[in-house]
Amino acid sequence: MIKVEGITKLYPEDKSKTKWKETNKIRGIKEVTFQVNKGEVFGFLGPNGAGKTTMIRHLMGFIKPDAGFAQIKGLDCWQNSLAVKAIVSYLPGEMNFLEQMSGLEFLNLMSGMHGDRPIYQKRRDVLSERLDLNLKQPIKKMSKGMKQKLGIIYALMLDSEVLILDEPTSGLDPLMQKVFVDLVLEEKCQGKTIFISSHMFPEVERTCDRVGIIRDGKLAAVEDIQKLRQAQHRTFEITVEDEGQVQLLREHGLAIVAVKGTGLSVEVQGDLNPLLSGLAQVNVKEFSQKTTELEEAFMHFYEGEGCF
Amino acid sequence: MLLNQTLFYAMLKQQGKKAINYATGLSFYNLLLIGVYPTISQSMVATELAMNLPNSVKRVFGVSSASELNRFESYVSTQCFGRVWLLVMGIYSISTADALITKLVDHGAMAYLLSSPVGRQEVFVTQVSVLVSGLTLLMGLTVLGIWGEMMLFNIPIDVWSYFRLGILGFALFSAVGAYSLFFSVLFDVEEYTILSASSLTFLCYALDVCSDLNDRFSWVKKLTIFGWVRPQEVLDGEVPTIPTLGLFGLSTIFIVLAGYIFSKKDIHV
Repeated sequence: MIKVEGITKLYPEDKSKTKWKETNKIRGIKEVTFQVNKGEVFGFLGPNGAGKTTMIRHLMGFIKPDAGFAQIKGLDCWQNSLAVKAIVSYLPGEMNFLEQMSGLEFLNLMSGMHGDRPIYQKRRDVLSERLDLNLKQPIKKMSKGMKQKLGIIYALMLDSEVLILDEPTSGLDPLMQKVFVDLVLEEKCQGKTIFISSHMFPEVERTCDRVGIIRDGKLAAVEDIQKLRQAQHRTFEITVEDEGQVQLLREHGLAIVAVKGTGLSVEVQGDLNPLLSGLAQVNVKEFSQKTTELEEAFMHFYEGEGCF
Repeated sequence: MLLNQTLFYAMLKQQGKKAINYATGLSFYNLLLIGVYPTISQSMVATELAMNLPNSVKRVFGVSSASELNRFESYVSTQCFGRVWLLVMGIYSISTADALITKLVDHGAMAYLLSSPVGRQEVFVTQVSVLVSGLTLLMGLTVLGIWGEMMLFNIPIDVWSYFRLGILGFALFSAVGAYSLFFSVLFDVEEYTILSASSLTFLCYALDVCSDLNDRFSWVKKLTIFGWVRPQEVLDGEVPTIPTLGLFGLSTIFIVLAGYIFSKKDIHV
């Protein structure tokens, strides 16, 4: 459904330099190639400034590539941008609307620009109820989270075949993040193709089938989320009653990476049962899981393969 | 490449309010000027003051000369269509052109408009129509306001001269709006658009003032769009066909160029 082949867009390294310069740390994206199949949810991950938004601008036909091409449903995103936009819904990363309008006026404007089909209104009402957003409120009085909800309603009300979502949960509280994940999974069930750009691993983990990671403008890897999840290293912070119990856990064969008094960090890859059986023998006072950063997860996955 | 009606009405709703506010302000200003005209025209002090100032100073600061104080058309052309009018209309044209393109790109809202299956040229034509409609509304309300105020104070005028001046003024600020729109599509940052359009407008205005200071520089007025507009001559009965067509021609060139650039450029939203 989405095909990106060798797409390159480089920007001048420094505004003071007039020549286009290519270095190891590029601005823009270089020779990015990947595909997203019909009905698939694809996560496009990377730290801020890695080139995620530049990639999306190509998919939306906002910028012309220096080399390569991007296609959606066989249509070139730059040359046939109008036809592409007729089948695509887009949620921009920056929530900057036409501030003087109310949420409802904005959605009516966008609905009109998309051909004003009756289904838009029906979906808009359902979505605004699920996301708990008062559409009559003026946009300039909305918080960041409310604006994000409005953007999500806009993107999902169009019932498009392809959804391109740039940092969709940014600014949403945990409850609304869960509602968003449910909405994405529902769209997926309807056969929609979804491209999500993000730097947050949990939201991608819960929604995506495959993920691509971009670093410094280059696509470092594209992997199946199941494979990543199985290989994912998880770190647990545990506090036990005394140092003897720390020794007991060590003898149990757990990968203890750090010990500080009665506190220890245990790293687990894949199966959790050895950890649980070890903990059953001691008196656990505190237990928490350390959040795995996105890059950390990928670095563990590709450790030894020389990808990073 | 027609305009998009939904976008047009939404934008006009926003920009129309601004045009009405500007027109209301101008009308109150004109009401004040026209209201004091009978007093000033009969005042010996005002006549004396006007006579004692050098011509160049009077031209630069828009002070009516003694003869101008005695004729209503001269008074109106220097006061109602003088410096304040140029300033207000200039600010309106530049800020509206900026708000219709650069501001939307700079703040990111253009991403929503361009994510719809409405072409870039259609979006651009719609924004141009909003600018033109706003200027029409502003000029219309200004001329209508002056006409109403003259009726109120029982001052007889040649309505068609004012109508012709309205069209010439509309053409002048269409040109200002058109090159502002050109800068608006050229730059992605508001500051650059406002700075470029204001600098060019100020340069044109300064050249016009210079051309008035000394007869040796009178040829300079042909180089500036403000030199093509002489309100008093129009109110005295001259039909400004060539300047009006020239200004509309210039507007068309800038709008076509801006439309071409907008349809081809990378838009980073």
